[in-house]
Amino acid sequence: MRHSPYEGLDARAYWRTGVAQAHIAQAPEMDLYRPKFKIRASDRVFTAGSCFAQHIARNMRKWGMSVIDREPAPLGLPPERHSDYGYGLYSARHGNIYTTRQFLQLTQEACGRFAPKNWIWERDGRFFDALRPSVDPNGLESPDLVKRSRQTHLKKFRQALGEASLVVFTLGLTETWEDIESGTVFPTAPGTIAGRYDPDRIRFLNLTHKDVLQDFLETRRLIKRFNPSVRFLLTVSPVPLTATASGRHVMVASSYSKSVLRGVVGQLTDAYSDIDYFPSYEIITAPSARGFFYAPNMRDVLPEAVETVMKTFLAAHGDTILQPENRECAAGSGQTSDDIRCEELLLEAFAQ
Amino acid sequence: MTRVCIVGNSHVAALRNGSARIAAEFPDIEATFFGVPGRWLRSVKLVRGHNGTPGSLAPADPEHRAFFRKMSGGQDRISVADYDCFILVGLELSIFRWLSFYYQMRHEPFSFEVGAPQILDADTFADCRGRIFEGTAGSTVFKGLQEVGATSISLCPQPMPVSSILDEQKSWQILFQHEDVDLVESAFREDLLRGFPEAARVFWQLDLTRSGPLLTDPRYSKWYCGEGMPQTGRQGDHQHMNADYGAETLRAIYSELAGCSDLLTPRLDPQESDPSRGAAHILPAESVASASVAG
Repeated sequence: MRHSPYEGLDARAYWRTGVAQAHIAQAPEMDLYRPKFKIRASDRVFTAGSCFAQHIARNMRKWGMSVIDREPAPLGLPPERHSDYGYGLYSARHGNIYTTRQFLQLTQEACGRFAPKNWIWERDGRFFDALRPSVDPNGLESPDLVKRSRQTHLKKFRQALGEASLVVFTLGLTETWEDIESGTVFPTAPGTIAGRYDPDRIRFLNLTHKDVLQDFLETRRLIKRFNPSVRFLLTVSPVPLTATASGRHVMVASSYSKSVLRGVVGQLTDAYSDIDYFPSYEIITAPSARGFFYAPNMRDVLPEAVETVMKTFLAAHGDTILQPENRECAAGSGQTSDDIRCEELLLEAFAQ
Repeated sequence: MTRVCIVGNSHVAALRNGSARIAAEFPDIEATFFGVPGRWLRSVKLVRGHNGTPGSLAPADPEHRAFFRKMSGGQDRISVADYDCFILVGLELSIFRWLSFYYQMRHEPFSFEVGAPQILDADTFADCRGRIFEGTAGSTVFKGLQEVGATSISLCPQPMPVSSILDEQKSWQILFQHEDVDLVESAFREDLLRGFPEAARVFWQLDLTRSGPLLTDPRYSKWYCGEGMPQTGRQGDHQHMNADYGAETLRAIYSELAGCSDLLTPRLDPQESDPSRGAAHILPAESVASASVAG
């Protein structure tokens, strides 16, 4: 009989053996993450969230996983400019989704259950979609074009969510800006990319634990209505706030934001079998990492950090993601029926 | 003797098949055909010549090079010094690629009712229009040949589809219902020319092979069996043409070559092109560069 419930547990349960005596670079072997469900090569992955989610999507593509891209870049846009226009970052061209409120409103809008207000902002005669202001760096020529562009985007976003078997979502922060009249939230403060800050029309909003929890559950409920079997893999971004409008020190504000998000995700993961959490936040922010994973500005995450995170992910899912048949598919000839036809026609002509 | 190098994907087959019929009409033209699936030519190996002499170009993959050799009577690379001009045939320079851009993106001055177009600002859109054909096999081979010293490179874009496409592809039905197809074709030509400002010539499809704007006369289809006869062969192949098409197209190209010296590369001084001085055919490892163009 054990004298204490802490007696005889696995090494991972004790700080000394689980953290202090392990180097964070060994995270993939530290048994940090025990998946609730298996992720497979056959999964159709939808990705969204704050900027850290881009790393996850990029690596999943590299492994040959099917990451949905419903709004691919046009043929003539050079690859180095894709991200400037919001292409190739996520499964649809919505740019970063920093808050659960933003994710909820976008999903509601795509389902015809929400109509944002005051969302077309102007700068120097150009017009921007304030709900995704970074995807058109030059703005568009008229409000009508912005509206048409958004209609297309909503359709593609809904399609992408509908075909996903796994939604990977990275929660970024709790601070946002809200249109007082309609409750519409914006990913950036007015005046940052376009628009003008008018305190009578727009207010600062710092989401609470309850807000974030309800937002996510409502988003999940909406998605499940048209995609009942979808599962969710959540992560929390380790990237701190650039600035806060809360009046607190930015470090304190950042800690609040991340704590709320991490708390909600923990609660969701414990309560729902279709929601899992992957601890990229812990890997990068752990004291044992000694800040090693951050760039000199103490904010940006270094490639070594992403590599460690993704190796940890692969240690848990590699057997099903990197199946031999998938590897062949990813690296295979990719020969299409058109290629075969092309070859046959040439052989026939050149045999004469 | 004018030495012409004709490089293409499956669309070069029609020209190759028709070449024997017109060879006697052009005794001063010697043509060499290279045929390789276009996908293989999206990545090519460049071998630069020494001291400014022309180099050569071949598919980067050894397996693809073997096919190249088989299709060209034993040559596994195109040596620029061996030819007076180059004609690139097909190689994804097609109305299909062009339309896929316009179906996907903001498409003024058209109003294609296909798909849900994404919208870019006018300047970015215009910039993209000039790059629609970047990343194609045609673009890769064109740039590759320029890089290794070719100066006269002409294009012979993929033929328009035969009218049977209207029976099978909804997007084409919509295109013909709603659009001024002449305007569509002129915009296609304009965008292709913007993508290849340094092309010596673009040999557009001959009117006599057409049944109207955007369409090829079915008699030139690879699968045409005669008036009133059911078409045989591959369902869904509206794009490949027969030897009649190839002969007419080649006749027009050769006629123009025979009459226009500006289409030909000035011959090198024999001493300069002497292979013993380290020219195009030698493959020193340090001079090999891979040109891979992203899609």
